[in-house]
Amino acid sequence: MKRLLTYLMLVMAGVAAMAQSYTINGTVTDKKTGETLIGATVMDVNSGKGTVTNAYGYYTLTLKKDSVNLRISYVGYRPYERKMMLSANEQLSVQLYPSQQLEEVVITADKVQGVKSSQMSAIEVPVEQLKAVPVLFGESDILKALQLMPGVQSGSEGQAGMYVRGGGPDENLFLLDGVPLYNVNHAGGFFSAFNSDAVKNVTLYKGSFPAHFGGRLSSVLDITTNNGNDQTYHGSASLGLISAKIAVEGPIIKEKTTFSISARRTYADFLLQPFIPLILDQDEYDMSVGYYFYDLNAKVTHKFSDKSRLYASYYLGDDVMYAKVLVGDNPIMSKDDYLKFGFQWGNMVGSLRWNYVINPKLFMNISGSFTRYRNSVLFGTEEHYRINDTTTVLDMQMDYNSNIHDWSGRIDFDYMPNPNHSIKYGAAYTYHEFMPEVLDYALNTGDDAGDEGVDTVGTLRSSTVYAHEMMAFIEDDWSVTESVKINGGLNFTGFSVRDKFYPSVQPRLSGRILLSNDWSIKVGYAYMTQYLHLLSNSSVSLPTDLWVPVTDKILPMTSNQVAGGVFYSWKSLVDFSVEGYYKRMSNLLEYKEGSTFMGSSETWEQKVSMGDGWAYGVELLAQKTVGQYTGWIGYTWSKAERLFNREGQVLNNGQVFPAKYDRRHDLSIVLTYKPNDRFDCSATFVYSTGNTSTLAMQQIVDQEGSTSVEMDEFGNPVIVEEPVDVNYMESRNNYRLPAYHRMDLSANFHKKLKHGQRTWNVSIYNVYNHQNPYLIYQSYDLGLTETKKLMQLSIFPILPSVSYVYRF
Amino acid sequence: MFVAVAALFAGCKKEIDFTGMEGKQYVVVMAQLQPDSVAVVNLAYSRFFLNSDTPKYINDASMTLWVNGTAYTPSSVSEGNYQFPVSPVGGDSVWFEADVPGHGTISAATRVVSHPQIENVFVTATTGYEFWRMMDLQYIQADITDPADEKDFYRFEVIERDRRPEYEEDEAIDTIFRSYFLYLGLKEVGDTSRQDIFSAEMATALVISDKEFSGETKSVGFISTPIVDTTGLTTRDYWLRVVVYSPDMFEFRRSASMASSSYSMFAEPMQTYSNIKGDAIGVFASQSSMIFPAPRIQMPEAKRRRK
Repeated sequence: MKRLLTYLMLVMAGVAAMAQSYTINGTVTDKKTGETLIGATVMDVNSGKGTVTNAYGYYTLTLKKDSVNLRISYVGYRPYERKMMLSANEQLSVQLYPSQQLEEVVITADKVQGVKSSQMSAIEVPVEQLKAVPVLFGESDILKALQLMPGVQSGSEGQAGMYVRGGGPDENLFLLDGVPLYNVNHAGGFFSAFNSDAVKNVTLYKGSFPAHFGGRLSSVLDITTNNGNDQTYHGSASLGLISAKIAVEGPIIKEKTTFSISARRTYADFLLQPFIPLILDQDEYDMSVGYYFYDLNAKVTHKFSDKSRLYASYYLGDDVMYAKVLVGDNPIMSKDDYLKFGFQWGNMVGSLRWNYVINPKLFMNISGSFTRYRNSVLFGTEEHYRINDTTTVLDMQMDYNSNIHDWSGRIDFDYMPNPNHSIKYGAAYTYHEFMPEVLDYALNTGDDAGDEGVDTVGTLRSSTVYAHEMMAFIEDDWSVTESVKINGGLNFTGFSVRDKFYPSVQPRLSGRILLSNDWSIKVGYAYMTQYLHLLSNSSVSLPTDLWVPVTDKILPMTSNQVAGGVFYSWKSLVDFSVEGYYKRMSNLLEYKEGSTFMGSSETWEQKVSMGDGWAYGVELLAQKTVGQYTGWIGYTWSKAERLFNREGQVLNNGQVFPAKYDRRHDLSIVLTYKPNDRFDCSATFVYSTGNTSTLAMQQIVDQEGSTSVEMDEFGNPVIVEEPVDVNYMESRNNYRLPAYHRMDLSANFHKKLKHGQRTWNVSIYNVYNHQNPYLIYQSYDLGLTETKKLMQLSIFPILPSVSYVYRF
Repeated sequence: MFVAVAALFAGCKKEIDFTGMEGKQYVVVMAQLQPDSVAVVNLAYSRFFLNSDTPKYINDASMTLWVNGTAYTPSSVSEGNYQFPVSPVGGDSVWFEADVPGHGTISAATRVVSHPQIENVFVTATTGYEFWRMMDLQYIQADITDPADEKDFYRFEVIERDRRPEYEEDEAIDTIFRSYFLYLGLKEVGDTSRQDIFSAEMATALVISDKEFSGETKSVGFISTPIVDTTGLTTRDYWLRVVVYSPDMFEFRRSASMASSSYSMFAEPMQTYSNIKGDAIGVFASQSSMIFPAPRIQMPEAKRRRK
């Protein structure tokens, strides 16, 4: 009996010892800069268990009490390895050394990303690779580089707007350090609002959205900015064809408090002004015109301890376009009339975030933020009266603007109880203030003697809409077995506006079956709800597009998306994937036929129709991210359609029509070559089916369509009616523009200087000068017979550019 | 460098080749029936939008017109115009049916509108704020009665003729429906209070439906800024033109106006309305137009200006 009891106690002790597990946790950072590394792989090679660092570079890995061979790796860095005996919880923060070049390091079983991840429909490209892609005027642009990925389309030529898997440009959630931005376009979409010098990490989700994301139907672009070097001061200054950039970062308190500031501004307005008189006849035209944009990113990070960090971020960006033209010069009456107009739009974002490690398995983040977005269109006249020696100015101005203010708070938890479960949960609240249509008008008088006349000001506005948006979520990344991994979650949202409450329960599910170390199959499903709409003209996207909330009449948009794919990794060097998707969307908004966004007696709610849409397609991707040669080839076959047949909201006679950016084929090839530190180059080729456009292909004669008035012999008016041609539009988006294709080349020449490094960039946009259509218009040749033609306008021919960058 | 870039940008135009892409030709029906006027229905083919040729008319269709159940065949056919020996009056039910070779049977129906019933047109002088300034104004108002049993749309235009000697006769007359005429809205008879309505639609067609005054008499008014001579007499003659549309005609006129490229470059595409059944498009509807003079008035002594 005594022996039996002893034996049982030994067995139980042994079992207890085996069941005991301990947690290793810490932060992974760059040795040189102190920047946290997001998505770094942390793996125990012995057991095969692993995880990745979160958005703050933090990881936690719970393993059984045993010998551990810990390996921490990240693309572009030398891996860290450590063997140890795990017999207690261990805090281990690691600094990785950057590799001199992207070596073809064989990353074996520790690769948790890509093939092995349960996440599908996600694009993760190293930021340096995105920056290397040549774009317009030699400026690197994260968003434009992402548009070269399968499933992601741009708008018209040069535009940075994103259309992901048949969704509209408002269906993308752009997060800058966790805070949403409303309009991410500069220069009407030719550049994005993201200064690549400030960006540290980019992840794009096209489907199978994790439950901690919500609020948009089609994609989530999660961008993290640099924290700043915690060791030494660094910076860069660059001068390009159209803009100048400056970036500075460094420690405020070494290894504790850092800052990072980057800013850029275009200067085409300054440089163009002297040339306007050369282009225009100054005797006939008196014009001042200009356009510029600027943005500023600033961040301060403070590390209280290994457990606690505080981040303060700020973003400000604006586009300003202005013109003032002399339209009437009356020397007899001593009066000059000017016409003026302008556009302005921009974002301002401020946020404060605090991370805290509650215990080795539980990480917490609390954040608060404020977002302001506004756009305005300005029209006005100035009348200058010259009486004796005094000039009196009558200045009339109308400013049509739209504003959004958001105040948000959020709390997130990352909980990893054991290596098989990685649980996230949290909640968020946003208070929205929408002012969608505000018309400010003003009449000012004054003279150059300083006398001010009567000023009249006023405002007409549709009512401000206040809304409350709440969200809670829970998700688990669960390794069911060695080969089966599931990410499942629920996102609960509620939107309260004008005594109306819209709740939504959104299930999310994605799963991976590992067929071998190199092969996997993934499937995913996501139900998404969106409470905001962007009212956009069907023919052209404008900065004046209105962001509006759901109301008691306008319902939330919803989507159901399923996706499935096969993934293969060749020697962990090249990843291949084939992915198919089907997405169904409801309560989409379009302007009614004949409507215009310009103010009228109708409110915006009366100008829109609600309908449905669907999109499906297949995406192929081959991607290499390590080695001297990197890049990707992406191809998409897709179809996107719309149907608006609800009573009173019919478009296109209730028939199905192609979506605005429905493109059947999309091909992108991106190659970069970096043999050494002194030189690198890249090439891009894109081909896509032309955009759709609505074209009235037929015309009919209205026998009495034109009226004019004449006098009869008695001096009374007589109406004279004459036939006139009327355009007949057969269906919406019935015409497809010619296919779009171009090739870009870029090369960088680096040289180390005494203090810092300089780089010359030479790039050519549209190398073979293909005339890609930007818009189409009718033209008339008035000869012996009137001849009509349809013309296409292309805006970017072959464009060489050069820029200079100095880094210290 | 910027001049070169600007020149490069400006020169990238190319004609799009549409050879072989002309698309389907439609049979087009145009019939704008006016009360007390001979009924005419026009048939033609649509043209490719880059085609400037005259339309191809259809003269070989077999067509019948019914007015209140009585059938009529065309008395003449010329340039697509099928003229019938009947003049429908306001309130008549009219429909047609035609067999068009290669396109089968087409048809449509409508109700003929009545002439607009204007009881009274009068002009009064006043002052008021316009464009942030105190100005002399004159009200032009008309009392209009709507037939109760018809659904109609009304369009109002004001025609002016400037009597000043510096205007040649053909320059003097104009149809005004632009901004300096402010539409006062529909009000009770005798109500001269002011209710400004700014509307983007004013620039193209000032049209109201009869739902606000079906079977009643209401007053419709306009404001103008008069010019007076040294004797205080306004220098412009005015006439009020009232057009009555049947619902189908209103929808067609509205859609055709919005489909015009001059409407607004930011406006959404508009499909031209059609009420034709079968393999054809167009409109078979009714309208009536009448003109009523508004007298010139003597502006009060204090308001005279030398012009």
